[in-house]
Amino acid sequence: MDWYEFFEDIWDEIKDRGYYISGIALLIFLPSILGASDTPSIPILTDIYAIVGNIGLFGSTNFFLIILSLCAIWGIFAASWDILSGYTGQISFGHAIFFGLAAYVGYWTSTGFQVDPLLVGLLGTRFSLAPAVALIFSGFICALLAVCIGILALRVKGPYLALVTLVIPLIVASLFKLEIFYTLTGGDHGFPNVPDVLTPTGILDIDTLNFYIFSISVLLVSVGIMMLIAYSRYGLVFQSIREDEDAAESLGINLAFYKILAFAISAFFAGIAGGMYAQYRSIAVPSFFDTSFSFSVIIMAVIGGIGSISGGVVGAFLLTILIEILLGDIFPSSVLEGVDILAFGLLLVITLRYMPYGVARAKSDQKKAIVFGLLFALSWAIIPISNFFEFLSSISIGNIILFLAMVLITILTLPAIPVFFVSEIVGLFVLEGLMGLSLSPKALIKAKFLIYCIAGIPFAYYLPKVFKILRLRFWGVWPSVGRYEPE
Amino acid sequence: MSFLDKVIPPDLLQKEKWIILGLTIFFSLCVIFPFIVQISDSGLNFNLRLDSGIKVNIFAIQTGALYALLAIGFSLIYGVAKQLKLSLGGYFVIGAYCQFFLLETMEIVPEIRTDIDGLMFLGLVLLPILLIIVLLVFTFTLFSFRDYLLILVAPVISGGSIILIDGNLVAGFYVGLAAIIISLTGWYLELPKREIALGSFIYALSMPVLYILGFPSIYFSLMILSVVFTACVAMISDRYLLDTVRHSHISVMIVTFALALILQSIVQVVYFPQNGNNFTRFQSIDWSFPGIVPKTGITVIFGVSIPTIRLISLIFSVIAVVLLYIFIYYTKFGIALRAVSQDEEAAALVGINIRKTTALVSGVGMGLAGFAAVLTSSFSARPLWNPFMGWPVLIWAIAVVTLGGMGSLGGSIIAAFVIGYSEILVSTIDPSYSVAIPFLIVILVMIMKPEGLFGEKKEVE
Repeated sequence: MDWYEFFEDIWDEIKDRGYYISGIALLIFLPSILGASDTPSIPILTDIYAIVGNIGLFGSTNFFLIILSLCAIWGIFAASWDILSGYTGQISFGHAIFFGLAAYVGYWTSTGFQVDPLLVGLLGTRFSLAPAVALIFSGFICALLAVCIGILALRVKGPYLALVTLVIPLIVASLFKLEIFYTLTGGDHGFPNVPDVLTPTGILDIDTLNFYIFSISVLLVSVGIMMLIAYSRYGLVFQSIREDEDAAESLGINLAFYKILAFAISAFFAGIAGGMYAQYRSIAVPSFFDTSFSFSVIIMAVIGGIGSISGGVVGAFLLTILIEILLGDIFPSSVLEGVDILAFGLLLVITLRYMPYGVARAKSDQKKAIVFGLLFALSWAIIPISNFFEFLSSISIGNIILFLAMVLITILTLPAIPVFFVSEIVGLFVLEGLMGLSLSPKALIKAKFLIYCIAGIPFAYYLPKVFKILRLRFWGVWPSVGRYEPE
Repeated sequence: MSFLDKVIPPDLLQKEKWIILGLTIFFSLCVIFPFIVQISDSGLNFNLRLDSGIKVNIFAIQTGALYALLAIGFSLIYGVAKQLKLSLGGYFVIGAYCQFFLLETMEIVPEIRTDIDGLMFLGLVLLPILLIIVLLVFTFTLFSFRDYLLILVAPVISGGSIILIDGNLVAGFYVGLAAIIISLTGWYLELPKREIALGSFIYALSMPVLYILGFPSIYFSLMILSVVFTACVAMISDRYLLDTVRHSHISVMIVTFALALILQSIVQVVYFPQNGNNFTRFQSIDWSFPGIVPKTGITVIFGVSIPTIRLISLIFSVIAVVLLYIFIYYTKFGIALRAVSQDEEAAALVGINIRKTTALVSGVGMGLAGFAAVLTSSFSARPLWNPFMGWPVLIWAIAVVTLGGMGSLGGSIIAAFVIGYSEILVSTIDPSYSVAIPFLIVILVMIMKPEGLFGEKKEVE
């Protein structure tokens, strides 16, 4: 074995996991890129963000970090749904039960119980846990509940299980709202001031950067554990249960044990996500049991890709950023309600129609189309506004890189000039003329970005195909000399 | 042996006698309970009182009938097309808002407006006229000349006479449109053509006569229009969205859920924000079963005063169930439905159009949901007017269907009454338990008998 083959192998591994590695690196270095205080600044990237960020596409740094922490929470939740439903095939339509229960358990344990008089000597008069420990504790409680539900689930299969799990959180929520449990559950309004990891006193003003670091690290650890489980022998057993229960049983797999195990693992991480969400919102209310929570996690996992743990995380990031940052500003809920739900539904139907395995497991040309479409959209949104000469006036490495990138993208998008204008005219006509919205300048840029995304992703998908056809017709096989690519 | 062959499979009756016994005991207890026990502030009183007993019973039967309407549609679709459609709630919303929209457009004064809202409204008013012309041309291709004459005369007679009597142009056009829609629906259901023609002619003659006698025939035709519209939306979406994922339960559930989200938020986005201001009646609707009875109307039966809406809703749900029964057991397409539910491949071999059958069954089921929406549109407690009113409906329908057994029509009806009775009885004692207790019953039954009370034991693929 030659010495360079080792590096070639490593390079192949890196190339295969390029999206993951770049995504994780982006998440880790993002605070520095955004220029949050108390972080080491990375010169080139910070320069680029200073230019891009001025346009106001992502809002202020703090806001963006908060949204990203929310993304991380949803990512854990979606991945936990995926390990139960995508891997094991036990479709749960009521995953919010673990989410809500964990919120309450986190509150109870972190604010403290009055301890039974017999145990005073052992535990002290009040028994409470640190919020971070309470997270894990509530995860275990959820796993315990999941074992009970899992035993129930052994009787019902497939769509019946989905229907039963759809109903269970509603029963629990209506029990939580009863008056006789008021001291335990806080009734309709639940509890305010859930103490979080960073401010144990329960003050609302959490430290954004630290919460971001905390949630991202929890995301990486828990999704890493879930992926380890999924790629281990257990994951193989789960998949075999999904594919054919009878065949799996005939191979000697203990169906009951593995189904309940899948329920417990899934519920544990869903519980951690629920506890973090309660800390993020600083409340624990019965509406955490709502069907909307169960289904938004399903939508995220489906859009990201069922049956791949990372898919749920991808879906959660895409959808949360789309809804919280873009749609939230373009269509404020005071003007137009329900746009986010419409976007959820349309995206779900379109994804299932064109990419039935989601974004994470899409075909490579579709994946590239999404990435390049987003890049096109970003550059189209930036180019009309930014002043080209401003880059040259202060020469730094970041400016030059950005300038070159923009020149490249401009050259690439020259064939798309009609698309650009059509999307601009049609989109703004629809938004401003037909729907009667009056957009603020920042919201206008977000709206443009959204419209360019809608136009840019199909464009990025069809451009190489059209280019290939034209190339074959006019120049033979040029410019890829000597390589013939059959359809 | 299919679920549709008998309402309840006879061998099940012999095998599972304890279910029948238990249900009999349950229902007799439920019927007797409100006669004997009264709830007051001091606690439970044990007296024999007739009025409260009759009232609670009628309430419970009406609730049960409504749930039966919803659950039958859900169950029928599962039985024939083997699909679990979570979009039931979405069609419920569409049905309610369609009825309301038709009602609103009748009130519009045709004034000349140049802004976009005004133009849209003018277009929507002119839509029925255009539709009438297009559909008449289309009908010409389907029927023989003698039948076509009757069908052509029907909208002219009914619409024209309503315009003459009532003076409302739009209402007349809607009544005429309903006449054509009736004949086209009959054609789609493959009923005998002569009977369709006669039926639409009888409709046309009866509308003005009934109107003079005091029957709200305009609203009746609006109801037909909105139910058929709901069914059309259901069939079109079934055809274009579910065709590729037809055989996977989970994909169907996810797609139909997304569909429900889209339908609900389309109502929310397109209908409300700007155009909501133009609606005169929207904020305070005083009429229910839109237009027929005042919301506060009260009928006295056996000395007990009962809201008229509930009585009318009860009557119409019973009529709908009977019509569905006739459709399934006595028409050509009903036979096709039963055949498909028994064996899809064999049915295709005999020459039954599977695709049309599944589309039609989803149309019928969702049309029933739309009908239920029209019936309940403004009850005091449940469905209040908002685009989210479909979700509780869906949840209740699921509870009923899982209790009664998936795909069993008779089971769904009985389970609907079980749920309705338990809900109403519990809510007379303590309203805060009225959601939890019926669901607990469902869960307990599911633990003991996972296929439901009258479901068949069958492996789910």
